[in-house]
Amino acid sequence: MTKPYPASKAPNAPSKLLDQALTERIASLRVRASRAVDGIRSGMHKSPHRGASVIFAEHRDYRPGDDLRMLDWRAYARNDRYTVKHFEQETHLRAHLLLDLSASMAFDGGSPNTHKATYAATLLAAFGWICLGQGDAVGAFAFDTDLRKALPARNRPDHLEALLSVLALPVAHDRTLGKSASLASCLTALSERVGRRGLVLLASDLLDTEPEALAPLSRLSALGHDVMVLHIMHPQELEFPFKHGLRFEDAESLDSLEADADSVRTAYLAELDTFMRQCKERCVSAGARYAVARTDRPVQEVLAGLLMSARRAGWA
Amino acid sequence: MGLETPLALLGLLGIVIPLVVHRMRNRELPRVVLPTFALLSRALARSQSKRAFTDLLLLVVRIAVIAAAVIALAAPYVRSRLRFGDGRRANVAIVIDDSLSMARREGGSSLIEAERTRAREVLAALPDGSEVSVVLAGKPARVLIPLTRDVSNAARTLERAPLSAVRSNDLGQALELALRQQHRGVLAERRVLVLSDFARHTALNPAELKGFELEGAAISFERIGTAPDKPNLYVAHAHATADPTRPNETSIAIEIRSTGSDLDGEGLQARVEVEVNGKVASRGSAPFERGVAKTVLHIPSPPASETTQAVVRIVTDDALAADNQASIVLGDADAVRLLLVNGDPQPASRNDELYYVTRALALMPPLELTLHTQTVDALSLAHVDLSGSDVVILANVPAPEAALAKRLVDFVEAGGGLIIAAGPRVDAAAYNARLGGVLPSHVRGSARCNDLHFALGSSPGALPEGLAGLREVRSKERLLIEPQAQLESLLSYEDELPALVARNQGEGRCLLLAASLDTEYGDLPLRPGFLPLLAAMIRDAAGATAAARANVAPGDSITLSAPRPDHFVEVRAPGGQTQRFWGQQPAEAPKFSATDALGVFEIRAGAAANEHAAKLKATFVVAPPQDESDLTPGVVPELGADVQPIAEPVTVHVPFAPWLWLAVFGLVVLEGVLRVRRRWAV
Repeated sequence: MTKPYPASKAPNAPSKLLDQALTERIASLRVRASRAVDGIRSGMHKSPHRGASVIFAEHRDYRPGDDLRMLDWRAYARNDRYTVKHFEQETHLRAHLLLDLSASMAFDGGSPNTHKATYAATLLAAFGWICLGQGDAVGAFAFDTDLRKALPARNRPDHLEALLSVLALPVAHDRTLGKSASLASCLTALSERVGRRGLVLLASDLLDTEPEALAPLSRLSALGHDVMVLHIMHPQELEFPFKHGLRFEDAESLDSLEADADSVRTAYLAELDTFMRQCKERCVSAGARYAVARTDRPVQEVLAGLLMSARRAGWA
Repeated sequence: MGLETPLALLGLLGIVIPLVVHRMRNRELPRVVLPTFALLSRALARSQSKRAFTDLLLLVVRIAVIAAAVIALAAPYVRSRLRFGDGRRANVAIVIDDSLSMARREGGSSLIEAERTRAREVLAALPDGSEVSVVLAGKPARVLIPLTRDVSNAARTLERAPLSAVRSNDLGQALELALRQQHRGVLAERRVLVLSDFARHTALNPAELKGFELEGAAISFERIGTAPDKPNLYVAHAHATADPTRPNETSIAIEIRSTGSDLDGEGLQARVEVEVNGKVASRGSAPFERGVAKTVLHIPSPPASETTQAVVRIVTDDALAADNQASIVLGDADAVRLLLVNGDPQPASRNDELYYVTRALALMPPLELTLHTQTVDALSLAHVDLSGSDVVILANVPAPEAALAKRLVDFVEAGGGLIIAAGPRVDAAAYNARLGGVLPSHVRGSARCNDLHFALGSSPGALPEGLAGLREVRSKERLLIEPQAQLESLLSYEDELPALVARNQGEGRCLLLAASLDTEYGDLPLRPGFLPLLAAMIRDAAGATAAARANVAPGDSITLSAPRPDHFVEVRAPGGQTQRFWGQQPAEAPKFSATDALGVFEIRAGAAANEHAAKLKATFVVAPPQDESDLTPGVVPELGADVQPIAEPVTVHVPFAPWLWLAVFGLVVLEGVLRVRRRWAV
């Protein structure tokens, strides 16, 4: 068992994402890849390659060129046939954390504790901290209308600081920029940079209602990555607790409209339900895991639920 | 139109309230940044235009609510001239003339409907608490709505009342009835409104009014309708007779008269047609000469065994259509076939047994009975086919032989009527022996009596006239009829011995008269009640009804023969409506009074055992009263100076604030509905 990665090494400002109390609460969590991942060094995750380990994989007939060290002499003694014995190879994990820093992620509903981007960053930081703690390599990508910062996957002891600095990047607040790039283009760009198959964890509010917005996830999945999507939603987005007449403004553009919140609530919730159902269906069809993360829920609770549900599904 | 409190209109400034509220809704609203703005925008997109329209509609409705409420508070009113009276409570009697002349059509509706409309206007103009009554002036005058304080209910009753203008006119009696109705009221202010066309024939002499107890009642006469612009033709006479010069044809002599215009100089002709069984059988025309046109039309004679109705109709267009036709009954299937058996024929006519009977029957008015009479002597009776008779009268006839007696019994059993009248030749023992099966009671012979008078028996129902005309009858001798407990006694002597008894036997009936039909036993034939008694006995024995070929005036009552128990008599009106009277115990002669229709009425009789096989017994014709055909406008009666006319209608303020409050209520409901719709529209 690997030692927990020391939280104290995190820098001061980014350390707000990962304080001592949080690391203590998530110290017992482990990340396991559900699919075979490519790694250079030995680790705790299943590899697509056969190698030397204690986990027996299969017997097969010897073919010229096979490593003679793999011959099972006992089997040869029993049935006079050359049989090769294969074992599972275990390797380390390359986890890529994708953080959406678009303007819509700057929403906190008047309560800083539920800031969407901060919450998403905290979730990813905690996940990265767990991975680094068990010796896996962790990389990070922050994007808004385009890729803002990329951090290759490393498992060095001082890598957590760099990781947190990427995750602590501020959200683009300039609504006049509009939605110049779609979620799809960002994910496509990212999929070209994540390299060997590993684990991809996306934290985003997925507020791109284009039908092809999540299509790149299927490409990541096809490349052999374990893909997981954390749908970051603020309670006010989910419950629409507003009352009376209000002027609603778009978080990513200068659009606005007036509406009576009481009368529009039912229709809005219906639209939201449709939207979230579509997100889940698109993620699942792309081979990705999908989970909703309300920003008013404790990070460790969301993370534990995420890892537990993934384990039940054979993911971790 | 005006306002009682115009200052309340200042409240119209309140209209700005919804405008301000509407504007305030559009002011700068609190801003909320919403990341899921696209979803909200999509949710709103569906209903945005509908909501905008609903918002505008809500604004209009709210403004309308305030405006209507303010105007209602200003108490608006319109000036309206009352259609009757001065708006004070009063005891009002309305006399509606429903005589035939009111059936004239003018301006698309009949005058009687115009009367109804006017009467409803009067009722609508009366304030609550008024007393009203409505009297119809068709002869005989009658009360349509007795005095009531429920004016609205009276208006509904008047609206639904079937008013048929077919009768003659009796305005005088109607006015008297109206005044009597008013005397039942408590309000001192009394008004009588008489509605009529006041044609020349209107029977109202103002001088008669002085005899009424007017007691300060104000009376006004309103003429309904104007003078007709066309002459009025009517069938004054239509008579059908067999024409000896035209075998198998019936001649119908028709006389048509005109009123209202002299047609002689215009060369106009009255065109008439005769319709038999719904088909035109003959047409013709006749020139007018001194207002009279006469012609004779011929139609194929109907079989004598059938009763056929013919309608003589004037085709020429005239002022009043209701009097343009007259109905005639052809054939005599409904006549009572009477067989008179003379037991004591005498060459000296006054001594003849049937002298008084035949003369009485000759005087029988057609309204009473239509008879086919055959007379035979006692010896010839054995050779007569009884099936050709409905009623057989044995007048002082010796007891028939056994064979003949059996035929008489069978005749009664089969439904015939047998009347046995007393006389010296009546052998009591032989009668008891041979006709005991049908005799109402045993006969003990004859006995002298000392000027006994008649009295009503225990079951006098078959005698509609009762003892009228019979009280002074003095009997010197009589047949002794044995009194029995169940005996149906129509007449008795003052010593309570039966004088006229009856008995149902089989389908027929037998009557036994203790007096003679001549003057041998008393002076019965000389008394005025003899003819009605004879008619009642024949009707009762025949089981027939009052058969009348003569015209009956609309509204007259017809007395029918009392049907036996389990038997009925029904009258079918020209329109097909049927009224049925069932026999009662004791027998009671029913009266038919629904004669408010012009044409031929059929009287049928039948038994409960075979209700659908009612047999035609008689017919009578209800003809239009000819005096009503003169439509020349007469003079509206003028009252003396001591009788005040009803005051001229006054102008009153009619508030319509209640309607505005009703509108406010409706608008508030609409506003609520719109608000709900607005919410559910998203």
